[in-house]
Amino acid sequence: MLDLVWLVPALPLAGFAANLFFGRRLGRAAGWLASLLMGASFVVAVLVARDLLGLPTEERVHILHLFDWIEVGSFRVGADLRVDPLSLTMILVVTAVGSLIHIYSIGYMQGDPRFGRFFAYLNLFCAFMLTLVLAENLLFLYLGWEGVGLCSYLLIGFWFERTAAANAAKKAFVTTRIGDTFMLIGISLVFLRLGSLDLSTVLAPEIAGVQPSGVFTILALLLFAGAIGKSAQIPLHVWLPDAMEGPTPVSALIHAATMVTAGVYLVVRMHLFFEISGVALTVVLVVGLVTAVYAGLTALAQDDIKRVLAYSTISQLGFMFLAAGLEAYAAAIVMLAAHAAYKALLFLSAGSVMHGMGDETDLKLMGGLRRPMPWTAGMMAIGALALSGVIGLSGYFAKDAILAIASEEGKALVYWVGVFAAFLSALYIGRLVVLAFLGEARSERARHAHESPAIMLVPLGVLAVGAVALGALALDKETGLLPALLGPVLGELEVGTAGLPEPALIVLSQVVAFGGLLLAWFVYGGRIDWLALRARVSSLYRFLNRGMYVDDLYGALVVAPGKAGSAFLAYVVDLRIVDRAVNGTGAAIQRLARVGRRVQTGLVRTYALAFLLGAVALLAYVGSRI
Amino acid sequence: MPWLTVTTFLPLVGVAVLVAWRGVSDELARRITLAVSLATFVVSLGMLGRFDAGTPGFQLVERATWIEGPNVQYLMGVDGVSLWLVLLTTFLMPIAILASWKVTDRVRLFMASLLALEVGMVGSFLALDLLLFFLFFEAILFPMYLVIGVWGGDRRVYATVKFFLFTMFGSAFLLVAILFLYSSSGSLPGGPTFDVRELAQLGLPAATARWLFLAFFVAFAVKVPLFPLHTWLPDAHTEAPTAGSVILAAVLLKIGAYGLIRYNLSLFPEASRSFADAISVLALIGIVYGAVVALMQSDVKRLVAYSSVSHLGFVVLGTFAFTEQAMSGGVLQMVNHGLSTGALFLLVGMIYERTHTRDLGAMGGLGSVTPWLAGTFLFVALSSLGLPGLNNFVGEFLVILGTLGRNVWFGSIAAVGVVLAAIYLLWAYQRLAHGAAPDGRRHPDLSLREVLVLAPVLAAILAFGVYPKVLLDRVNPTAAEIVSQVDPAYPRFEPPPTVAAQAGTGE
Repeated sequence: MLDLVWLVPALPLAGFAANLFFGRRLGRAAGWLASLLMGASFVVAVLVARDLLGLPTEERVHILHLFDWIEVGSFRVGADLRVDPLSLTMILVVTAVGSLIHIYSIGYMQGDPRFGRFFAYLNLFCAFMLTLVLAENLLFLYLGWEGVGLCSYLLIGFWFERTAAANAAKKAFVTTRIGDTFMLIGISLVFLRLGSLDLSTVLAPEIAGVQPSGVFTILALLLFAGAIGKSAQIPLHVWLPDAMEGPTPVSALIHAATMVTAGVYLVVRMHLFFEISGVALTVVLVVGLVTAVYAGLTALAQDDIKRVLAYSTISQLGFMFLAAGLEAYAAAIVMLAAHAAYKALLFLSAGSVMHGMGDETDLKLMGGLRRPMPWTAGMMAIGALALSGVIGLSGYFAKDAILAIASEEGKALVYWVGVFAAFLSALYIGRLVVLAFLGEARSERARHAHESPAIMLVPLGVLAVGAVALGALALDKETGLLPALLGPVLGELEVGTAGLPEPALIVLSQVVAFGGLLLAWFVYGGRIDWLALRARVSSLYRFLNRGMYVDDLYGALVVAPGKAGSAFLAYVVDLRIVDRAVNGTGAAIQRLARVGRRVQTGLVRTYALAFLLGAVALLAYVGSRI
Repeated sequence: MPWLTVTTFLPLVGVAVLVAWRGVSDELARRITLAVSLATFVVSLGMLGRFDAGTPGFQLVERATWIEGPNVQYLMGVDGVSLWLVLLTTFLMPIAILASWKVTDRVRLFMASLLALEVGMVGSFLALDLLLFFLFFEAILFPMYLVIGVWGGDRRVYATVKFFLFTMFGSAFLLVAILFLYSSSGSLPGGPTFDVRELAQLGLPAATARWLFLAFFVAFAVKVPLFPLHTWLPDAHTEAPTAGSVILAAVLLKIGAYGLIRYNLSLFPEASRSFADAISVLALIGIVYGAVVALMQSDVKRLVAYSSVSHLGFVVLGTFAFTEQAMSGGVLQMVNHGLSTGALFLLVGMIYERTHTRDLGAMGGLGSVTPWLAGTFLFVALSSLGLPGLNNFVGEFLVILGTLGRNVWFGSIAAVGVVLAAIYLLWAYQRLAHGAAPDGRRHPDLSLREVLVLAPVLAAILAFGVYPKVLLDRVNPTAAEIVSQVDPAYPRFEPPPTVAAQAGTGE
């Protein structure tokens, strides 16, 4: 089966082609076709997993050469796939979550005039995402990387009749492309300095001796710039909250479960570079930690249910980078997988809420939804508990392993800041659940809300099982199933003995989780007029609500001067200076134009013919003189 | 069969028929032209079939003495650089003709002009005798002048005069330099000659070579166009009819870049090295400047014109980086830019036929009104902004890679153009396709003829993105040879021995 791994991306790609050309004619079957192909892709991934796991640990790398892609001189890259425990984990996550979200979308997108087109894009996204994680060389990875960015663009702007959606789509593409361009320079330099782009070559341990560690710092940081853009970390995070303009299944699949985790995957995959550098590892850790806190704080001040979840995603991705920065790569991947399940669950539940409320997203207008939509309420509660890190659920095993590692490595500051971020996540998700589902309905729409159809609720149930049970893959951060599987690729975790004792860590994590949830219940549960409280600290509220004005800052420092500069170049420099200077003088050109205008079109032929004859005569003359 | 001669002059048969047959109906004139251009394309495929991929240098060479006194030869040959440019020309010509089906004014003359253009363009790529090249090069001017001047837009006369003057300005230098070269070639074993291959052996004094280099350079830089000689291009594009814009962008500009490789690099390697940095800076200015100015254009044709300035900057940058990767990338970028920008102009023409405007501010909503037309535009825009998997990425990446290997700053600045391309193209797409259609107008989506026009180009855009090896296999040997002639010590980026050994035994 290992040689059939190409089917994993190829099946959804076929679905894309089919739905692109025949989607309209297929009608509702378009959704089923797309889901079926995604499901088939999942099945192939499982069969590949069975074969790979059947091999002895040290032989679990399989490389499949599909065809030569770009070859010039010593530069050679192919369309090559790599199956190893890391890529295997990724394809299982992507195909599993992807299949569920495809099925859910059949219900969610029902009645949309571009129903078939939606599934075409969704399939195409999965094909690129799977290429990204399966790629054996950095340039083929980059193809997947840009491809998912394109699909993100298409799907954020799916309802492009709305200006906000069109703007958000463009912003997402351009912002991530800034990071991607650094990454492309980084990839080029990897080849120029190390002589290859193949992972099996550049990730060999001997590579450390090829260049001084400073070179690896530059390479790692350039690649990390791409990760920052794709995974919406500070300072390139600004596109993700706006990306919520896309249909909710898109937010769940692309902007929570899979695409935004590509940056984490990249850092984990290339961890050798970061380790050789050392400095780069610290940068990853700081960016992750700062982002986790920043997004946790801003999530608290959002009233749009999807924007809460968007900032939550940014914050959780920060945790994953924090893990990578601590060299706890398996923990980062465990968190990636668990987050894919519980965040997809939260987003799809939010989608169910919107579906039941006529696309309402304002938490202030919800309330009491547990009664009309009990199933959705239950699912969302499970997702919220998992996210908060309540003991026994997947989020606990993922997040608290990371914090414990920070503590054990003796990084007390990192640990305590991380604990604060964890507290924030319990608080904002508790706030979301309380405002949406508890208390009484605060609007007509909330009173008349209805539960979603089974085709949407069943995937929620499956994801809920994942959100609860995925922790079983990492019961222990060293010897759990997933850490043990990833160990040969990612290196064994070296656990220190510093910091608090383990029981204290567990108690503290639960204090934080329940503390956050209870505080949310206390503040937003109807006992306190929180809106009045907010009005009293309105400047703080606006500061957080607007994401600490980062967008506004970019607008003032980058966009506005950029526009003014471009306008100056286009209207003053190009038209008035370059054009005229090159033409000689403006007046001369005017005269010429006037002469030109007198030439009647009928005469042009004669004129041009005369010119040609003249040129030939000149040549003949010159020729005879030589 | 003399493949090169037939490929070059077959369209001339069409010209002769159209000129001679005064009573031919418009429809028949169109069909004859299309048939001739298709036949030319088929013959050029035969040339491709005969081309030996592994060999650098000129192939299928045809030689005849033309003028005895001054040693002027009819000398044609094809190598890895010119091969794909000829095929690009013969491939796009039937498409441009099919796209001009709705031209109703003086059809016979229009079609004859297009075919005459093809003769000049293909001849320019294949000629190995400098004087022969110059004749082909000048022969392009006349039909192009007609195409823009007769069938162009409102300000066509201003545009044609400007186009004409700029090009003539460059040609004057070129002609003088060619004649000077001839007059100094008496020391060659075969006596004075215009043969490029022999002239390359001429050991000119360094100062002379530099002056001659500059004369050639000016002529070709105008054509490329290189900043700051680009200002004729937006005007010419804006006024030209669709077929004119397509040919101008796709092929004509390439003659400038081709000339730099074929003549400047081969004839004056030492001068090429000494001017390389200065020219690279101009190319970088063009890349960034063209993109920034494109951002501000509301006329979609001007926008695409400035995007050409930016994209052609990559070609020149790659040409003067003197690495295999950058050189091959530059050649690929020429072909790919021809396909993508050609397709963009085809689409702009189709949009204009529906909306009767080129003003992006007055467009909108085409995504819902004509989804296939808008989708095709997006596809081509994505290729133009260098999305991997589509054609342009390959050339652009190779140029950036090869340039980074020479100069990290040059390569990094070029990469800025990649970000800017995303901004101006997606912004253009947003303005024409997103939002609601003004006045809720309805337009028909792509017609069968339009699909036939676009489909081959779209297929090529995808194919050369996924499997550029078809191109590269034939470009690489020539590119490597040119680079090694200009700079024998060029960097080859071999993997370090430890890694190479590991890769050999690993897995």
